[in-house]
Amino acid sequence: MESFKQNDGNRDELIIQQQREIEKEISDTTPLVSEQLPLTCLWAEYNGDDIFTAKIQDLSTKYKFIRRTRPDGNCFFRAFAYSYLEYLISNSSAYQEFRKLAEESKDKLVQLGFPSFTLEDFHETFMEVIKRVSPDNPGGPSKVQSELHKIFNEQGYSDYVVVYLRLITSGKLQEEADFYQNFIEGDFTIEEFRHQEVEPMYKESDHIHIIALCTALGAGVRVEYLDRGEGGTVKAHDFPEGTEPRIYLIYRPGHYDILYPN
Amino acid sequence: MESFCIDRARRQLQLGEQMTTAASTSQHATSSSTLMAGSGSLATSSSASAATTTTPSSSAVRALAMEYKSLQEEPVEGFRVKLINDDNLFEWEVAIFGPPDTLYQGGYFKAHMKFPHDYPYSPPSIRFLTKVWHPNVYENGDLCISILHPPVDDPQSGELPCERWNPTQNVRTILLSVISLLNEPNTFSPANVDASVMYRRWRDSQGKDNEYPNIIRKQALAANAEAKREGIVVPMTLEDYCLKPTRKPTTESGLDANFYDDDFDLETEDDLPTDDDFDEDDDDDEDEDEDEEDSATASISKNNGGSSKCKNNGLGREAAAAGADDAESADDSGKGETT
Repeated sequence: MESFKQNDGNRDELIIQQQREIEKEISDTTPLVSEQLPLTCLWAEYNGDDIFTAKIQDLSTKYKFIRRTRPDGNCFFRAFAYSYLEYLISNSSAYQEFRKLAEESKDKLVQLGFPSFTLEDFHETFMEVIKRVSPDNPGGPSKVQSELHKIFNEQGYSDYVVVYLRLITSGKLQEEADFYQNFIEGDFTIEEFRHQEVEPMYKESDHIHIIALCTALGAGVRVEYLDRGEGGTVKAHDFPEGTEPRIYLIYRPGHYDILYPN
Repeated sequence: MESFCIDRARRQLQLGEQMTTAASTSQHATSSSTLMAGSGSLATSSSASAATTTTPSSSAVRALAMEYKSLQEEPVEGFRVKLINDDNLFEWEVAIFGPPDTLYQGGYFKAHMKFPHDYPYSPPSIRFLTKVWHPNVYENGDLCISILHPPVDDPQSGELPCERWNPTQNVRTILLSVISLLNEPNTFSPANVDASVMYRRWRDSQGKDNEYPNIIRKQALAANAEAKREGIVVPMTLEDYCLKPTRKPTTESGLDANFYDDDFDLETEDDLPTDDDFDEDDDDDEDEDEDEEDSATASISKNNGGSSKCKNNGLGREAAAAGADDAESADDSGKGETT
């Protein structure tokens, strides 16, 4: 038993090493959240490919800017949090409502069985971030906006926000397990799925994550899908269906960035 | 099915030499070059964080400082923690007390916990310094428990995905999992195949084949003797085990021997399982069993590199002797062994 596949250990090491090099390259070249960029900067990525050129053209009739997030597996959560807080900065009543919801979310998660000791730490940081981007803070919206940008590029804060959103997502899946179980592929139980695909950092998000998070926070998201598909136009999908979107994201296979409508 | 742990074992053997050379200079190097597949953000600390003060490792420092402080102020039943060096939060020494009314009763198991720099996003690793013959502990003492594995898609591992690491896990939840793993080994993913086979033989024979419990009791006894030499009192009854000490260590020196709370009643030798207990059922094949036992024990120590040297602390012995006066007998009303 000990002797089969002797080289496995070495190969694993090489894979891990290579993965780390890729991660380092990404983190050296891509900030956690970028500045706003003109949407048309996407053209450069597709070298005049006809399908994509047409689709980006189509998209640019609806959106002016894009804000990139680092492709580290946390992009959906980071983009969601950034974009939603950005919306809340300019919407005081929605901000207050969300702040209350966020405040109360901790007790709910403790009830659902997360270890309160560590949960409290994540929650505290999450609340601190929310408070630092209050529309009522001195300096006005532009000052708060730049504070938001700064916070989200500080790994410590940025990642804690991601963790907390993952926990909220996981909590929602557990809370409505009967419903969400229907959307899980394979033999995973909802419990396994949460622990394996939702709670750990760097795990990519799927529709089920998006639906659970949007529902838990009452925040509508529109996702524009930019892929090789037929039709020349970009397809959009709203989560949860029929809700007015507050957050606009662009999805290219494997990655989410933030969009800014005209 | 064992491939996950076995591959890992091989990797660690290969890395063993690196680890020992690197350990003296910096634990950064080891944590990044070994176990933690998910520690991607380690690399990110050098990134565009010019304007920031918070790096991944300061997140880790913050989380660890918080956990450490909390465990000092409110120790959790069954274990104690301290830092190996006061100025390094990333390496802890933990002491696990064998739960009363189990094979491990009286045992005092020391281990090192090593935290990666992107903790709590990636899990720490645990290596026992005390000899532990257990299906999920490698011969070199490394513990293989799923809660300490990053969530990789590994259908081969034979582990339930629901037990994987996530950032809300912490030293408490880990050590509680370890304590329960002691008595409920995971034989689907053994790190020590011989121990696993022996454990299953014991379990499947309804306790008739008692080679496994004999080894465990013997190790618990040896570990208890070592604890005594260090002046540490191992709780022997459920009552003492669950006792939550209220006294906080007042000074830095409280982290040393005194830190292991002396509120626990000291037990006499009588309460410990003795060699007589070991051979209850196997008089017929005593010789054979002993041979196997010896070879098993020998193979455990093979990789242990003298890491469990006793500290022969004179003060400790005095303390132990002083405390012996008010020793109580073990709580006989407790549950039987969890077989």
